[in-house]
Amino acid sequence: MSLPEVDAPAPVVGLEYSPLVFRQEGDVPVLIVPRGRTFEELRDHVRARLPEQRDRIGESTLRLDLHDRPIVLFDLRRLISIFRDEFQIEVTGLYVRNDVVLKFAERELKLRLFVADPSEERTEEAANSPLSAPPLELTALASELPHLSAPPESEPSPDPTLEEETQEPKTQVPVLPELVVASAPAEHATAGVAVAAAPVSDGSRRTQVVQKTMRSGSSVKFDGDVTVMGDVNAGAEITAAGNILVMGALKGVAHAGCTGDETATIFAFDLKPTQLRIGRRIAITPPRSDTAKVEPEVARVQDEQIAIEPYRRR
Amino acid sequence: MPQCIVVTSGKGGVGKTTTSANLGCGLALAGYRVAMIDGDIGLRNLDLILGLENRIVYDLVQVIEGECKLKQALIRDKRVEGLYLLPAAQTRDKNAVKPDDMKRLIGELKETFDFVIVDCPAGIEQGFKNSIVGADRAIIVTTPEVSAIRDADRIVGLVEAHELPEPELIINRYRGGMVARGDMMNKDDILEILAIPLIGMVPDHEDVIISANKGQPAVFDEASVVGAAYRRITQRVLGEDVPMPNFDRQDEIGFLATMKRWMGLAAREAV
Repeated sequence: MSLPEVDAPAPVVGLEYSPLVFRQEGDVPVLIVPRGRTFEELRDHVRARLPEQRDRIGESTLRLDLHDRPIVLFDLRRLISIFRDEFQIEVTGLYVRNDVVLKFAERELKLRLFVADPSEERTEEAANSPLSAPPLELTALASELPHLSAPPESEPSPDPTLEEETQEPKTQVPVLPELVVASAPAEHATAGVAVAAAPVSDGSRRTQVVQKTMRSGSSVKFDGDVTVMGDVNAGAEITAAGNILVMGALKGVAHAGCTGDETATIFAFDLKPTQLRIGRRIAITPPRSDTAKVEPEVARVQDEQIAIEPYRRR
Repeated sequence: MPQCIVVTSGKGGVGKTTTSANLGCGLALAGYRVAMIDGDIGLRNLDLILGLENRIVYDLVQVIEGECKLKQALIRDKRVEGLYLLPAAQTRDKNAVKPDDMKRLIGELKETFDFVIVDCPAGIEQGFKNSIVGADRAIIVTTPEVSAIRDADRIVGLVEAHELPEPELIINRYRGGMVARGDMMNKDDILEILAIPLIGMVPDHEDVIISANKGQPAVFDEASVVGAAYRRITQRVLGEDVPMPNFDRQDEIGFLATMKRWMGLAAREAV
């Protein structure tokens, strides 16, 4: 089965046979990310073509030119880890025009960001020649941003158990959160769900905070915990590698521990989901009477199946 | 010979999804193997009408993108043998699917199923193009309103442009009382404009809303007049000649009927 094109207007280049295209920005090589139809195709192409062109990247650092390619942050992170883990190439900068990436990349990817000049019309062929104008530098290095460089100690936690946890894993987890936020139509992709990515800086877990009600069609994917300050309506989906906490009614689909963690839990003030998934398990909640008492509940895996029980403080 | 039927209308809210659900269930009740496809990516409803929303794990877009197998995404309806739903994705949009993908998918379904029912979204854009591409036959749903009929007329033209056989018409939400009083277009007015064969008429009835809320299509309800209308439509789709009852009730006019309406004694749909 062939896969659908993501990038409708552009002619799809025969990815399988085309070599990777580089340009030089000063002494830093810039890889023009091929116009892949899906992330999987792009990844396979990079894996197939990069080894033979490995000598193009002298210093083992690379910037990526995404231009206006429709790549989501989630996939971008996977791409960056492929360069790091499989080719020992550190990606140090990005040329982007995609608003979603722009919005989150600076604080999530900690990469140097450049904006490709939007006035410039570039075709696949023209992309082979180096850019005439130097790219406009948009932001400083993410590490210089105050909210990222704030030391964990500056946030005293009133909960002693939490502080204990912060003592243990001192090493900053190099893995950055996977973040895809999209509302259904493409034009809403940037404005779709207002998500304030608020990385918890205790070094152990990261939390994605959604500060409004998630309506039908909106989805959040994150490789840490997800907290929603609002309702999750039917038709909305949350996928999290960790726990899901909904400070409101959960009526949509929630998938906690999506990478296989069956200790993950799903909490909601009013737990009435269409479907619950924890790890590889799926459950449907039985219909409840409207007069039933609404109380905070938590779903977790017990005895090989998902069970819901009233939430009790521990 | 397996057949793919697209249920379309142009205008929204005329009852495409209700018709698709009832037709699909009706055909399955008649003993055929039926796959229903929700073509309304981003605004999926068919799963709700069928009461299958909590059983969705994979959807049409994931099948097309190769994330899962077609078999995994098909939800079996436990109420009747041989009825399956391929749900739409709610978090994506129509452009996630291309007509060629749909054509291939429908071709694959036709290897196992007798009927593939595609619930087309409103509009004439990408979603319509995706829904019509694999169809062998089109059913157009309209209501007796000028706007719905104008849109239906446009759709008839588009269906013919896709070189499908002449589409068939279902007139939905027909109110005999209003027609008798001359407040609603009658069947013949509509047929004169659209000039396509009429395959069924469905009265406007609260059963439709009740069945939608319960997730149980009216066709399962032996006592429902709407269910009876959809069972007749199913038989006509299968090529049987079933007479069309007269919905234009004369008894809803006159002094007595007016008094009955005032006193709330008239039939529920005759307002």
